[in-house]
Amino acid sequence: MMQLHHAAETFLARLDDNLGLLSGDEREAVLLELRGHFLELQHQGPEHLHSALNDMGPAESLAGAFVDASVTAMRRTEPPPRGVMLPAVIANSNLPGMYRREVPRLNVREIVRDFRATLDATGDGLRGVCAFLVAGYTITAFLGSVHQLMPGQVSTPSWLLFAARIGIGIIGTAAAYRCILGKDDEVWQIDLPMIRYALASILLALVIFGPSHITLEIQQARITDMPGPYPFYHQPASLLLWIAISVLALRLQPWAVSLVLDRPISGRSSWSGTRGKTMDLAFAWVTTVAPPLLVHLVVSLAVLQLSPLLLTRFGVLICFVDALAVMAMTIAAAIINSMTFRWVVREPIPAPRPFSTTRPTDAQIAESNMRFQRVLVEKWRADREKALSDRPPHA
Amino acid sequence: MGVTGWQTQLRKGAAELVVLSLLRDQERYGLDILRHAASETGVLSDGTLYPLLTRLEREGKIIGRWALEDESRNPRKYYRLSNEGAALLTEMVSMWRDFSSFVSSFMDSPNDAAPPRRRDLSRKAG
Repeated sequence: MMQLHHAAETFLARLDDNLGLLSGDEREAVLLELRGHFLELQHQGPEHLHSALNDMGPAESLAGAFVDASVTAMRRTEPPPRGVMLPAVIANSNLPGMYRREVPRLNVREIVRDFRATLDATGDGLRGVCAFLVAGYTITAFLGSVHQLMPGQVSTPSWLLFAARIGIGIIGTAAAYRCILGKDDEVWQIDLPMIRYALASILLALVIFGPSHITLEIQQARITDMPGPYPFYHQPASLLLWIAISVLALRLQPWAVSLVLDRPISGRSSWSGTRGKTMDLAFAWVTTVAPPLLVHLVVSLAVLQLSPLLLTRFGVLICFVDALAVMAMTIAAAIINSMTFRWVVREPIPAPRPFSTTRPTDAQIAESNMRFQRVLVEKWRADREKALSDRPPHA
Repeated sequence: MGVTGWQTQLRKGAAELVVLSLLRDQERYGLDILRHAASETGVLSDGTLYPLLTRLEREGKIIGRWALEDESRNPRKYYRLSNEGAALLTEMVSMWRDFSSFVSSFMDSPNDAAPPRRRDLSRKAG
């Protein structure tokens, strides 16, 4: 192949320096196409090449034109705004990779806004799920404490209550996923996808809780007859193992969500699709699921198990508070998993209601696109300034 | 804005129409487009053509394919119109004709010119 004139090579190198906003493939295509253009002109005569270089102007300006073209095309071809109007953690994962680290993390106000937006967006569907969870958990918690309220009376076996709570949780989360991501008329349908989801949830629970219990057995800890997987919280090694596996298991949640929606994806694509987002997910869980989980632990362990006097006086109320806490962590988990599912399947997240299935208004899209473009252009400018400042003076 | 600035804006607005028109009947690569556009209309330059092609391709109006030809030994990217681009071109040509005819009518005889038809002039080309 003919050697390209050094002036053209320099031009292409400077162009490459300033095309940082484009993806690797796009940048390579631009450079390859221009190289071919220059080579053909050079073949016709050096004056043609120099004329073309003069016509193109500074490489930085041409790079700007390519970036503008790319941003304009992106605005026109991706109607749902990607990220800028969304809460930080969500935006963080929907912006192109190079911007992720610059977006601040989720804060409590945004979490509350998300909850309200999600409830509004799903109409009565998600409120119905909340009511179902609260009622179910209140009743099972109350039945679980009957033997303390009425000593000597026949109480419901703890394994049965545990199974009932698992069933309520599975049906409730499945309905929540369908409210957020699916069709309203199939929310409560117990069908094959829901059974698949139930089996997947049980499998994930075994993966998460199994090793912790084995660790507990190895440590020869005392296992009580408390319903649920509570005993291992008492042992630090078991607890740490549970946290570690839980964090890893977050990356498999999109797979479970896909089953209940009957839009199956593989566990592998769920795992790889959340690569690089594990800490964001863990952070979202810590800020949204952990607080109600703590309330639940305090209520269920300290009050229901250890303080019969309180239970005798305020039994139903305490069970109701516990149920509210469990409902909150269930819905929070459902929202995060729905969001993660949309990441993995690359489904646009409408703004400003990230979990809404309806399209935002044109005015919202226009506003968001403007903000998105500003972010892109600001980033491009920063990259260009950095590239210019890093370049040796003689270049 | 002097006449140069006005001319720049005019060329900028026409560039997309020219490129799409050139790709209507056959595949062309960048330099080929430039030769035709530069010689016949002057609306495109080396510096404006490739960003425009990038945008049109990303918007799905044209489709590019790489080809390595023996005679040049340089890879060339050939472009052709997509269905969407062809539909857009038809609409743009119609609008352009309406628009130019309307403007020309003023230049020929401004006082006799018909009022603009809002429907035609307010359509967006995409």
